[in-house]
Amino acid sequence: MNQLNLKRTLTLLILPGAIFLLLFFLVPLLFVFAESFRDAEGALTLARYGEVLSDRQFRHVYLRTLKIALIVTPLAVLLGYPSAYVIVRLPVGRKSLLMSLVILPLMTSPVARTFAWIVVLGRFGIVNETLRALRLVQEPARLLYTEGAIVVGLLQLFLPIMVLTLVSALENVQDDVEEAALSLGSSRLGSFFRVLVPLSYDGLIMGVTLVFTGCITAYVTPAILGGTKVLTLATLMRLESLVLMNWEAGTVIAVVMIVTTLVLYNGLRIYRPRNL
Amino acid sequence: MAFVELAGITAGYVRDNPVLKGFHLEVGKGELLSLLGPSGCGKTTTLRTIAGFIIAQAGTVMIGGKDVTTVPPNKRNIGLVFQNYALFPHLTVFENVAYGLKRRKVERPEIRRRVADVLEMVSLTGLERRLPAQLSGGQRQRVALARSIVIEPDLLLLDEPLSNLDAKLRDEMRAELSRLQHQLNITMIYVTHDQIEALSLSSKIVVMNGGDIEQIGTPEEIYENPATPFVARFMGFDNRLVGTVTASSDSGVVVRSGESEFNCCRTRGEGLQTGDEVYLFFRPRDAVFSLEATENTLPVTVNYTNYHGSTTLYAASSGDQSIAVVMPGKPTDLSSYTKVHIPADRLIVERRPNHE
Repeated sequence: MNQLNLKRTLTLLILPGAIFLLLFFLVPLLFVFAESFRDAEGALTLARYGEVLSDRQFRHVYLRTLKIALIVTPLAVLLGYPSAYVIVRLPVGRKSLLMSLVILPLMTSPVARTFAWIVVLGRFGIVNETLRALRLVQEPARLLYTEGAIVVGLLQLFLPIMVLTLVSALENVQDDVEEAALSLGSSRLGSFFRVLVPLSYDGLIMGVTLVFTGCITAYVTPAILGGTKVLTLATLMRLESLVLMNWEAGTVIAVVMIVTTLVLYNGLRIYRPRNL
Repeated sequence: MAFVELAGITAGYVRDNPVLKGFHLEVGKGELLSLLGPSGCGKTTTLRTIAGFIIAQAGTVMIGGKDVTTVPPNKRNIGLVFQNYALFPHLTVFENVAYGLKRRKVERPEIRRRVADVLEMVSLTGLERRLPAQLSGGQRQRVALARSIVIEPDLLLLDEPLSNLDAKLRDEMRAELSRLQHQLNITMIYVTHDQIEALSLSSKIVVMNGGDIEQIGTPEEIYENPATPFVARFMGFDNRLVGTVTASSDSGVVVRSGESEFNCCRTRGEGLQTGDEVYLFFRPRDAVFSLEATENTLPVTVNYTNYHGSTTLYAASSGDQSIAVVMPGKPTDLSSYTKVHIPADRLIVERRPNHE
């Protein structure tokens, strides 16, 4: 196959997916984007942003969502790296066993998974019953419908994604660079931070972006575990557009979400520690 | 006293099936010792046990008189050169070489001085700011070498360092390694499956097979007097005849193989007696087609020739045994020659193991 044909073949292969995404994702997204800059008569305006961004409730919810994402993402990294490190070094048989254990939660419905958290965290759930049996609390503690519940739920939801991205990133790192670092006098931890982390940094950015974006946009988990009291951007957006019928506010929130994740992603790409 | 000493080492990757079982090895100070053998012979396991990446299940590893059996690799002060270089791809040449010095908390100006010195030693001056991806294979291996010797290790371990280089570069690097070894007078253990590398670099060669040592000796000893059939084969004694001893004296033995009788003066497996079953080994280069010779000849028929440039390989057969003969020059028609002569001092006799 010559160069020209190869190019044509590649184009043909990409085209169906590209057209689908263009029609059903990019175009509606642009509509949302454009809509957020128009007033009722269709003229260009920033008034909607002014309205939403100056709203106290919105700012409160935005900061809470950001806070939750900024707690969950580092926790996922902290828990994900050691697991990924171990998984990559396992012999093939045990590696695929552990990988399927990692993937297992992804194969259950997020709704079912989140309801399981109610069983665990509810007033008469496992945690409260245990605390009471141990006489650590008199009254059942309020665990559900808190930010903490959302953090735990999102962490459980997104940890597999972090582990999977880090596993594939670490698998691309040559085995013996770590040994080279050790032979030159690095401790295990030192070689991890000086060699393995920089070399798997692309995977780390990917994992962090996916988890962070997931946290900012997650709906089911905060809806069930946060209820109507502890709103996040996604639950607020639904409230605004589908309950209060304030579509305009909804579009603005959607744009704010996209901008937030883009800022994080590009920030991580630009700040690239080469030699920690 | 030996500088590196492995005593009764049992080690491997699977606990129930160790590669090395009760392995012994001694390396003198300043020596360049090669571990030579085919893949799976245990040479890399030996190297990794010395480096500390494999912890021996039994036995002790001594380096410089200290027991390091359970000392982690980063505390052993050993330089390691890997087959595929294992450079840090995210660091420049300078940073790669400086890595070990930084871990040793060497002062910055001294790091700069020592890195510059070692880069000059391996002729890489001027490439400090390059990333490994911007270097050729040979340059990468030089960086790997520089990185491991700049820390002034007690011991330098090299794991097939030249096997990823093309033939011309390999020769250059081999010469350079030899020069560096003399210049630095550092104790080196060199793992290779390439007999030419082992012969040209080593002061001592250990030929390994199946986790055991077949023979230890100087390159000359190994090349000229292989101690076992395995070493003979590995050192290029590609032709093997099956025979029986018909006479033996102090100066050598006479071996009958098929219709031919051979006087052999180089005897291994001393104490061979009349009637013993033996193998006769000789190199393809050492046999010559001959019309005149009457003794030490083997009747042959040439089947095909294979031109190698400066030499030609004649694939021949004698009875049901196939024989390779290498002669200088272009292929010539040897159909009138019906026998090859093998000089008595070019034949090696080994006792045939009973189980074969």
